[in-house]
Amino acid sequence: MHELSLVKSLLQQVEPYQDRPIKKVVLEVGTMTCVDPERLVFCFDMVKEEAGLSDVNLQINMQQAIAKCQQCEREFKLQQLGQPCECGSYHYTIGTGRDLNLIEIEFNDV
Amino acid sequence: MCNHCGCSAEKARISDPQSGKHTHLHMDGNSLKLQESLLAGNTALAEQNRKWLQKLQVIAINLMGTPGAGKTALLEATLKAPQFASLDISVLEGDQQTSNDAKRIQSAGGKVLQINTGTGCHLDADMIHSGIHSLEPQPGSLLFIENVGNLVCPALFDLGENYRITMMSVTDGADKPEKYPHMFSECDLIIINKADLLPYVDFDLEYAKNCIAKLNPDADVILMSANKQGDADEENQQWQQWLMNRVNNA
Ligand SMILES: [Zn+2]
Repeated sequence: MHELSLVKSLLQQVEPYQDRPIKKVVLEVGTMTCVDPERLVFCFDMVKEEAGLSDVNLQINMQQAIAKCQQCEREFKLQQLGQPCECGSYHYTIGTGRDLNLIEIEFNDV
Repeated sequence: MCNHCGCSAEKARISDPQSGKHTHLHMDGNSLKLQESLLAGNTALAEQNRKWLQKLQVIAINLMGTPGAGKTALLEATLKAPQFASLDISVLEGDQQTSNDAKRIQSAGGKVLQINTGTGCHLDADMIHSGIHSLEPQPGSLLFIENVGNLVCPALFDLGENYRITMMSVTDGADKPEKYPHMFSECDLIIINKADLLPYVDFDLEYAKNCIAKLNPDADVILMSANKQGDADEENQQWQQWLMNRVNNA
């Protein structure tokens, strides 16, 4: 389960900010990363108490994948791998949709 | 305004003096805006591995696939093939437990190091980094990294390899590419192994090839029987050709 490895990296990245009580952590997950958001939350819930983050709400924003066709040069929303471009071509490069980012940390009022 | 990311609300900046990379701290009320990749650590290490291997002129191949696809059998056969006798081949063997596969590689004459991932389901760049240190592949040699048998997790982790191979066998079912599109879409070569069993199993080869063509139209696809190598089998020659092309183009 690679989601657990990701949660481990997340904990490391959040650690330097833990001197203030954290309310929410927001992640951006590309739809073409083979990361399951529900499993990510499940893994986070498993370890958050131990990491001193039991009150943290993990929010996951999905990032829509956009591909660029090598045939007709059109940009299109890629819903799933193996989907053809409107022109019928399967030759395309995926631009956005592969990101796995920590984008926001929200703190409680002190 | 920051000339790296164009932001105007810069409040503070954390910079790494070595790489010149920087992170902004955009504090807006109680909210801190960041843009940090969760895989940044792995990616940086993978890049380091890649440079190191390149300096040594070592070609690294990440061999991924289903458990039981025949990854170890392919390496054994490759080590024994007279066509590759001139190649210096070493192997980093990834498995959750046991050194069974490493022993097989050793018996076949390969230089090998076992990496046990324990509960982990994939190899990461850090394990490869330590692996290269211990294994010390010789300049100009070929390094195979046999990943943990798994069609999901290994796809996400860059190890610093030059090529990626995804391997499945005809006993796995023809819909594996469709079920695990990430693994099949992010590799240079797809090997469909155990072709000698085709007459005995219900495997729709055309269906599998069709799915692969949609997922990864630029990948090479080779049908072979890894354990029957050594004979003048045409299918196995394709593998030998593929590998020699990579070695000669390095
Ligand atoms: Zn197109």
